Amino acid sequence: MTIAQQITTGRTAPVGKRTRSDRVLTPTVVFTLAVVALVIAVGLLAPLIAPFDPLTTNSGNTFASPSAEHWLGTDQAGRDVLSRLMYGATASFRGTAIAVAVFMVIGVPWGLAAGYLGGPFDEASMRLADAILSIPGLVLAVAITGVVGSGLNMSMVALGFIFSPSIAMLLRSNILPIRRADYLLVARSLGVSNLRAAFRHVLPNAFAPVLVQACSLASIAMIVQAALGFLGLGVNPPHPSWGGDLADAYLFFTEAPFATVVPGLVIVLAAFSISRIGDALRAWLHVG
Amino acid sequence: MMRMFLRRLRVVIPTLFLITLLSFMLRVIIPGGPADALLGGSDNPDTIKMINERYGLDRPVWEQYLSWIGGVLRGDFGISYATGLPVVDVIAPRLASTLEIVGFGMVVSLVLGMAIGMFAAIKRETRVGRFVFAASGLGVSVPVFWISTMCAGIFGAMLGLLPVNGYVPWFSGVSAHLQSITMPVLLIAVPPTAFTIRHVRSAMVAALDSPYVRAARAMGVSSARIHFDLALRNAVGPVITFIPFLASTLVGELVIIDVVFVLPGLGASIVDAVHFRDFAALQAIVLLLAVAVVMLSLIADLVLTAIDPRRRKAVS
Repeated sequence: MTIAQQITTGRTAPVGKRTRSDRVLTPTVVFTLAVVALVIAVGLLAPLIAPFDPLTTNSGNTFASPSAEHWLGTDQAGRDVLSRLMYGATASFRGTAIAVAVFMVIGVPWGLAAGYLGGPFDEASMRLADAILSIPGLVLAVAITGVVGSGLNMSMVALGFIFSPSIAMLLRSNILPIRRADYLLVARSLGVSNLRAAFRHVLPNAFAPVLVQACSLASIAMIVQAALGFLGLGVNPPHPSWGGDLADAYLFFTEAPFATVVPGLVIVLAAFSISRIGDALRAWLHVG
Repeated sequence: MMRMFLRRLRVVIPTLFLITLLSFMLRVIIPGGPADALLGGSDNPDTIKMINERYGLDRPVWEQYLSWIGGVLRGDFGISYATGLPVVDVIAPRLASTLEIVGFGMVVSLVLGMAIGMFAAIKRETRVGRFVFAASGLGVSVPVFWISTMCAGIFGAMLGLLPVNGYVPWFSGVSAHLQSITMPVLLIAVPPTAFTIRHVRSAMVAALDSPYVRAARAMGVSSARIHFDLALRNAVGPVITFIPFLASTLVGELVIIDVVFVLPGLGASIVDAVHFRDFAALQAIVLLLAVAVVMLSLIADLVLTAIDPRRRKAVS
């Protein structure tokens, strides 16, 4: 907080101490980082650490309450809920990673080209972005998945495509002011090629907000993936996924409400953690 | 105003054109083509040929697009693959519940969102204000399929407070009708309400901390007048700007809400179209929803120009 800000807002920052907003590794951020690390670790190690096979049914032991053997009980087919959640983490993490990879691979070159080249390509591609963004995300995701066939990989590629305009538009708007920057003029007049200038001088200076946006889109991707699973369009049953398991458990809500609560809580916690990491990144990179 | 409208049209018309292309593409990218999808992998060439002729799928893609778009402009969306009926007849009966749920959802989001957002801004230094703000942060990111299944399970299936077994038309009883839409409307409104709260709060806080409000306070203007007359006025602009975004969010969530509450709306139609591989209906619904969102944002822009003198000046 500058003196001028203190005078105009009438508030003062404690002298000689970093203010709360300056700290990046707050307890919440550490906690959310731990949650994301845990999800990734469990997802990668599921085959090693899951106590049971997620597909093994046991008709004699359905809707079991949590016990020493089945920590989170069993579902309608007598499958171990904890093991299914662990394997579900694999699907969730892989799906989110696919979506992030796709929207970065499409969105970054798109935004860079639109912002740096400008002209007719910029105009046309931004109208395309408007068009894609004006179709409600989940509707388009369901439509594309329905057309190309369900399954985790295809649905997450579709989702990555749907999210790519958000990245492109943001990157483009951050590049526009850089096009007039003195350092770019100097670089160009020293004979730096267009391509090199775009990647060496323009992209790095416009990239920080894209990273922040990528985190919040990753968090939305995780939720949309679960929603697609909920609608039966994600991971094909009987393979475990958080959304699909939640939909199955919901049919037996009165018998075993716990089975609906737990996958939902896991999704909320994981998605919320990713978006909080984005907030921390925003503070750390000083993105407005 | 007119100039602003014409300038917006220059953006809106290409966008609409691209939306029709995108919706049409859905048919083109089907692996194996629509006839194959329709027949579920049957390989009798005569049947495929017959289907292709019947739906005009044997013509070049651009010709199919032109004839499709020509029909769309005249209100003819083609024949539904699943039912053999015109797509319009499949979609039209689904509009009533959708317009109602999305419309009421929008009203609830705006009214509650603005009221709570103002409250959170005025009380921003207190514990309650901070709690409301934090809760709205959770509200924007909570998955609708989770809260709706939880609420349907708890309030519907377990406690029996509200029905969760479908849509009751108003002519079958007004009270039963209202009961059948209460939970869907309240749940579909959760993320948009939370979103509105956050934006109204930040716009209000910016206004309340601004020099002109400080000056007004110093001049002895009452708190009520400052909050409603000076600060709220500045918070309305952002709200109007993101109404199209809210509409798009609501429609996206409708897919989930329709499924959880067994409502006969467009959201359910999309899921049905996917399950029955009815791509003609799917295209039509995607197109309609996207056009509705574009039109809403055009209207929002015009309204904003009409009520905000700064924008009027900037344009003329």
